[in-house]
Amino acid sequence: MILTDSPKEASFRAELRAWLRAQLDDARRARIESAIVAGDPGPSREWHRQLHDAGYAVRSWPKAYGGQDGALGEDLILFEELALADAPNDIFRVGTRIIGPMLMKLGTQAQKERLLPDTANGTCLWCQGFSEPDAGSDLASLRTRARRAGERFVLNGQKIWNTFGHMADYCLFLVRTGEAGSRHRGLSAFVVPMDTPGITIQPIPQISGRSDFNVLFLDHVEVPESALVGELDEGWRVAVTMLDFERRGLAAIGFDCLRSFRRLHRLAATLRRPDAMCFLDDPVMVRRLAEWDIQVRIAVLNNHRFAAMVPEGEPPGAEASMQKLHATELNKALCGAALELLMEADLTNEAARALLPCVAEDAYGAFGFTVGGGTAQIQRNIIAERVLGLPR
Amino acid sequence: MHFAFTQDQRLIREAIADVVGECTTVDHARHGANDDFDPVLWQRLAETGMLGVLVDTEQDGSGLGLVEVGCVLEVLGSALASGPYLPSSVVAASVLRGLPESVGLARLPAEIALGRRIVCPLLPVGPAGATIERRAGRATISGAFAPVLYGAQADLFLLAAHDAGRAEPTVLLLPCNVAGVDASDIATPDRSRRLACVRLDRVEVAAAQELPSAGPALAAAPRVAAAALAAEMLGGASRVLDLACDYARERQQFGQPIGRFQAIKHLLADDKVHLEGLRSLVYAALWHLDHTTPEAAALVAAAKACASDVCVRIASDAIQVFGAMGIAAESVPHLYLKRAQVDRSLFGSASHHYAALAADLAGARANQESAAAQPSSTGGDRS
Repeated sequence: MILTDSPKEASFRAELRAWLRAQLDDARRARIESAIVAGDPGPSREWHRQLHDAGYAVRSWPKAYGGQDGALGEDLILFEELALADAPNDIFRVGTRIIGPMLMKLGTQAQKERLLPDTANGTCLWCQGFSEPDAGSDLASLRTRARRAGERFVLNGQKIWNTFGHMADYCLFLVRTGEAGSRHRGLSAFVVPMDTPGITIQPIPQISGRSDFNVLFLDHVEVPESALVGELDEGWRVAVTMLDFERRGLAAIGFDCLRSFRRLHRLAATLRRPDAMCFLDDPVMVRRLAEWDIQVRIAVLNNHRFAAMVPEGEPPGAEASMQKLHATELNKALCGAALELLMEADLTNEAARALLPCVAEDAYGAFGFTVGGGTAQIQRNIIAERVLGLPR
Repeated sequence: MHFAFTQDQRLIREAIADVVGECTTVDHARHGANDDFDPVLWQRLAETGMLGVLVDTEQDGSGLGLVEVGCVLEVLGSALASGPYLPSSVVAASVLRGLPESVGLARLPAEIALGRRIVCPLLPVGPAGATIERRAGRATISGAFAPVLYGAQADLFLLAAHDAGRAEPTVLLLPCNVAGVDASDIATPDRSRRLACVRLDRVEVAAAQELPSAGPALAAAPRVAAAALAAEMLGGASRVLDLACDYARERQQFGQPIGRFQAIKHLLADDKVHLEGLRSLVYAALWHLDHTTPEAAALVAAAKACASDVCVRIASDAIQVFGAMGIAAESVPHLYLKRAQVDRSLFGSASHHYAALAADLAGARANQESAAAQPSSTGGDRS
């Protein structure tokens, strides 16, 4: 058991921290964020390429695909330092943390060579087409269909809650190739360029005020056989592998909790209530902060402990559901608390008012994470059945 | 960073599980043992070297650390085992280990490792403690301590006393069988283990051995005790959650195991998440104590505060899952609840530990204010 950085890890962390500090300032963070909100991936792509060229974007990937053959421990340090440096929202994470690792396990050699280096360097921005209006938690009931037409497949149907599709270059679609009612036995996965004719994108305004999500309408979308990932009718394996890797990517939320907690603490230390009292002089507030402090320590420690359970290159097991459930619920609580604190502050103070839009966006944005990637309730089912061994 | 047990630590976990599995059951916790504590288990712990984990090898111990002790405590807690392991082999042994040779402990650490002598630290709670009075050339010590784990079964007390004549507290090893010492068991709801009220009424200081330079080691003892207890509590909570899951798999209602209902599943899943969070904190606290890092104090406070809440919650939920059986005295979960509720108050209540963390958070104000005054870019600082 070693709960501190090795000399190698410590020097990697120090180098990374200095690099991030030199690259990121508030103006750049704001430029990247506002471009994402406007649907322009350009500044994010430029940032991602810079991370890639410095060897940070996909550190644990093999060198052949644009990575550094780094240990998973270095990825964790990256997640932590990016969170602490208040790095911008990573719109490439679907490709680098979910689809890339899945393709390494299940893709054809041609798919790996064609897609992975561009995914690593930010040329290729990914989204995924899983959920449908009638298939959310019950993913295996999905109905978007791919029919074989000679050497090609033709896709028809509707996908929803697709994140960043309006900016993406590729989508990984999960569709039905077996007969209706074949559930998880009749699904297949396809890689489809987003500029393929027949794909219509409609944004969904969210409670946070952002529109990161879309409805995708697929109307006679033709793709070649080479777009199939894994075997025909074995798309469930692709989906499960992606969900497993997604849970590991979500571990980064453990470090986001640390960032959210520090912001909450900073607000409590600097803002005044209308009666001019400092929030830190309120014993009830300080006790709540102490309770969250404990939970944030847990989120960060869990990231390290659960990572140590997983062999390199393998997706995490059901244990990751515990991490995901804990960290996403905690982050939602922390972001909500920051908004509530701000609303209870002296709002004659212009600096306090100026913080409201961003703090509110985070507070409502945090709700997405206890739903996406398997809802908190589905995570509890997974924990009960696959960790505690309760009957299905 | 590698947050996992080493091969050696895994072997210790297996060995202690075998020892405890073969010689103790939770039944003793129902009525309270007639003996002071389980002599068979104590003997086996001595034979297998478990009592000497923190004792140096020259003194017949194994010279290991608190992470290894945590492995032992987890298993003892899971069995609601009785015996003065925590006060004598963990807290007292850790204090004595830090002392220089010149103190003249003779073979006392070895006697702890072999289970022949039981040393109980008397750790003050709040302002209470012991005071040395000097009158007419005679020095006596008085004070009261409660609750003290196995205080009535100890051979020696280890304590610090305020001494009007000195700037630093005087650390003493005091035999328990001298005039003026009164140690009597307290009837707590947890009958699996002995807790005493210890009173010292003008006990001759001459009867005690003074331990010069032991002040710092004894000052660290409350942290060691709190982290160790949190490890023991973790073991209990883990076991009672297993029992609840076993019951939920077996008990049939509406034609199916109750564990198939999401109301039960989600309750137990949440308990598991809390338990694993506690596990992360407990081993982080023990590791940081072993390596005397600046984070140790906060992690100990976090671990003990978390254990206080989580262990009571998990045991209470287990009683609920057992339904009416959980209310019957013949069931097992209530034994874990009673242990957890008593543990909650030992070595600093939950409030005490929350307050310690809160003080850190409130104390960070000055730093935070100066940080907030600077133009951003402080985001990457790890204060």
